[in-house]
Amino acid sequence: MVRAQFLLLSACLLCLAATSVRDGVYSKAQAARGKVSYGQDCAKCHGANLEGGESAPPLFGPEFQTKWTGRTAGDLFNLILKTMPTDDPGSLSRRQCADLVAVVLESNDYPAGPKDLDSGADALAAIHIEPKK
Amino acid sequence: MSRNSSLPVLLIFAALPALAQHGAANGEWRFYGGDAGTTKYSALDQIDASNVKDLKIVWQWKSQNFGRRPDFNWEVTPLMAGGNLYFTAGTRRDVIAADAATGETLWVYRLDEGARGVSPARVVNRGLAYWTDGKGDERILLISPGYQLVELNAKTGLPIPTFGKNGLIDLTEGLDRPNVKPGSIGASSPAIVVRDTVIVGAALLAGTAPPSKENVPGYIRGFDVKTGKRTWTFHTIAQPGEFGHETWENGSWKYTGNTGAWAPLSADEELGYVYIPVEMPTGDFYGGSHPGDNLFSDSLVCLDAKTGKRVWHFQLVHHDVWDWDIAAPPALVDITVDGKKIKAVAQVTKQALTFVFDRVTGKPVWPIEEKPVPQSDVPGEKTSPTQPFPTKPAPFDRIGTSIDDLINFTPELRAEAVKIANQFKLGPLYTPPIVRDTNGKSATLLLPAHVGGANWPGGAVDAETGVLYVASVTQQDPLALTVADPKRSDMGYVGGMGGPPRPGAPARVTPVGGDDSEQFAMRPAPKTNIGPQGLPLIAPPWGRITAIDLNTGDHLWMVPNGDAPDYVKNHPAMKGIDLSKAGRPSRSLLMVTKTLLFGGDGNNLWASPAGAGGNTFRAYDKKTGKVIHEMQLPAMTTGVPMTYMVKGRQFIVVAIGAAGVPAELVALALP
Ligand code: HEC
Repeated sequence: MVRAQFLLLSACLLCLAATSVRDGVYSKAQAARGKVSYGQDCAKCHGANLEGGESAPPLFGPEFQTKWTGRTAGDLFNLILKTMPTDDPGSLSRRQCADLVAVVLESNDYPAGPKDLDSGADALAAIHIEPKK
Repeated sequence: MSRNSSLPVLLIFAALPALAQHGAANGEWRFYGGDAGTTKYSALDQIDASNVKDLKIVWQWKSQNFGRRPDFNWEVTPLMAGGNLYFTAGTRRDVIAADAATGETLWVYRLDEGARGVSPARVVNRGLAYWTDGKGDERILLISPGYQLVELNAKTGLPIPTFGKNGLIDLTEGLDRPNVKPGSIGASSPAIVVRDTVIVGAALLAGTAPPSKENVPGYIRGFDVKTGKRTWTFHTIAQPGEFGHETWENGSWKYTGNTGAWAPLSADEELGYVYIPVEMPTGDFYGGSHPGDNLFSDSLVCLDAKTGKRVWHFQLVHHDVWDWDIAAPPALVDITVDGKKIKAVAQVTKQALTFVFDRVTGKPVWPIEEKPVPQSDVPGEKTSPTQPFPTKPAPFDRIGTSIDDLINFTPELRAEAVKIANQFKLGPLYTPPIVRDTNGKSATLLLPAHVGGANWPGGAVDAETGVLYVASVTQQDPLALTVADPKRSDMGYVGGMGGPPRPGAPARVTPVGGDDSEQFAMRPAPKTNIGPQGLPLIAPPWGRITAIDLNTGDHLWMVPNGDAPDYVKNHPAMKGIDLSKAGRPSRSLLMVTKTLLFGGDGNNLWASPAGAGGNTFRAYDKKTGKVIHEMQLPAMTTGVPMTYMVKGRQFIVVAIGAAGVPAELVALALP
């Protein structure tokens, strides 16, 4: 038990160390999971491929990245958690939101890594959004 | 169909009381729009100017637990036949029969489509179609989220085993594409039944930045109402040997898709004709991949419902690069112009024009002129040199963008508005989108934009007087093209909403979480206005209702749809300014009876700033537009209201909902 906690702690330290979205902060499997809930809850406004729709902006591209540069994955996570989908805000679980952030990162061509994006506030706040290399 | 062969049919149908162009018959509401002609007119008169103030909510039917998450934007209009209501409910589009007098649920049909229905092309839906042989066989037709046509026994809710495969037809078959990916095509509006043929349209994924110029075509299909056998297919993209084929240059007919009909369809049961409002081809703002006029995109097409043969058509936008789908159902009405009786069809559009035709021949009732329009300078784009403009009726909303259209509440606001507008290319209707940052302009400012003017709510037409009431929003939007990232799209150029914030431009303010942003927890993110200080850029009214006498083509009156939304009224810069006639940037959902015009504060989840709608339901004087009575509903109206009579009582039923208020039906009646 003690040992397990220790492992968890060190895993968390590792993820705190990964401070940029360029560092592989989500996993492919997570993005795939997120894509399913994206299709159910987001696509009707933001388009099937996050390209934007009649009344909602695209979730990738230079405009999106410029806007989010200097903020953190936690900011993006919180926006989704608290305001999306706009017709039913506050209805997503933290885990779902983390999966959705993974989808957004993947669409912006940030690389995947070995582990899922953690849905804990501190871990998310430590990941900085930077322009694509 | 020759004149001779149509004559006997005409005589038979003339004997029936339910004539298509006369509104909903016998106190029922058997079609989405009341009658096959989508008039949204009922001759009922129990609720009138003298007693409308006594209207009360008599029952509510809640959809909250239908579907995996609640629906907040229920665009449904129930049908009423034989004392029962039939409607789709929830995000899974379950079918419900309810007692029309009490709202009691009688049966529920739920189709589990598995993966096929998980991420449908269209989540919203507007209802069902009904058929009866008049001898007790009554059936309900559903188009499922996964694009299957389902026929149910109206009494039991069970699938009709002899229709298709155990009551189901796979609508993705027969579309000339080897694979049709689940969720790439579906429908938001119901099918329509004309005599014994069910006609099905199509809605595809939105095309702001499509991943490919190749897509599934939204053909129109006819099915035998009893067996489900597909009896015809109408190619909305003209195939080799078909009329209009040459309007798809460079072989673009082969791969271009969309061009469906997602608005409700209308029909004339007496003539046996169906009227199809066709949308644009693939790529909302760039048509370089499909040069030519692109028949039958953006056309009103009249088909013989039995054979699917084209009777006539009229293209309302040639080679569309504005996303000006024909979005409203055609309204069928009989009018008298200069002493001549005409069976007419009126088509309102997103660009705020009304096209009126003789619905038998397709001849314009008033001349429609092809006029030169500005041309695109986007590489690879070839816009049409002319576009059709009706000489009458006049446009029902502002068209084209100029400095004169900007808000002018104070000199300061005006100056700010001019500064903002000058970042964009302005111009008359049909000014094409530019490539972002061309000649110092970031985008083309479109008015109406693709979400302005009229849309699926269309209008309502008084079948007795021939007056059309149309609801519109004055909605501008900057539109610019960018070179498509070849990894994401082979379109060449894709559309975007205006480009990145630039110096002097108001930044989009998206509320961003942080622990201090708790106040946003249950509020939708607003779609920010581009005008000064978050105000609208264009002068009010921002939403209106216009009455057009189709016998003369003249406007009778125009009224704003209420006062300004709270976020404008409460804006510090608006202190002391009269906004009581400013209207709301949402379309009223209209229905008309013998006595009154009804309209609720409309649907604003999609196209307008959140909170811009309102909860008011109004009854208007049909002759003047004066509000006779208004009442508050628990949320804004999201579907077109309908009315019927059961057990001697007239009901008005309308779908409502809002962000945070799960959708429900409310029934209004006199005490
Ligand atoms: C009913 C329509 C609708 C749905 C559904 C919806 N959104 Fe949004 N979303 C919007 C609108 C409108 C905005 C823009 C708000 C603004 O301009 O302030 C937005 C903005 C965003 C933004 C910020 C974009 C930026 O440029 O900063 C993100 C991220 C986002 N949405 C993610 C999601 C996710 C993830 C989902 C699914 C859970 C979702 N949205 C579902 C309408 C919607």
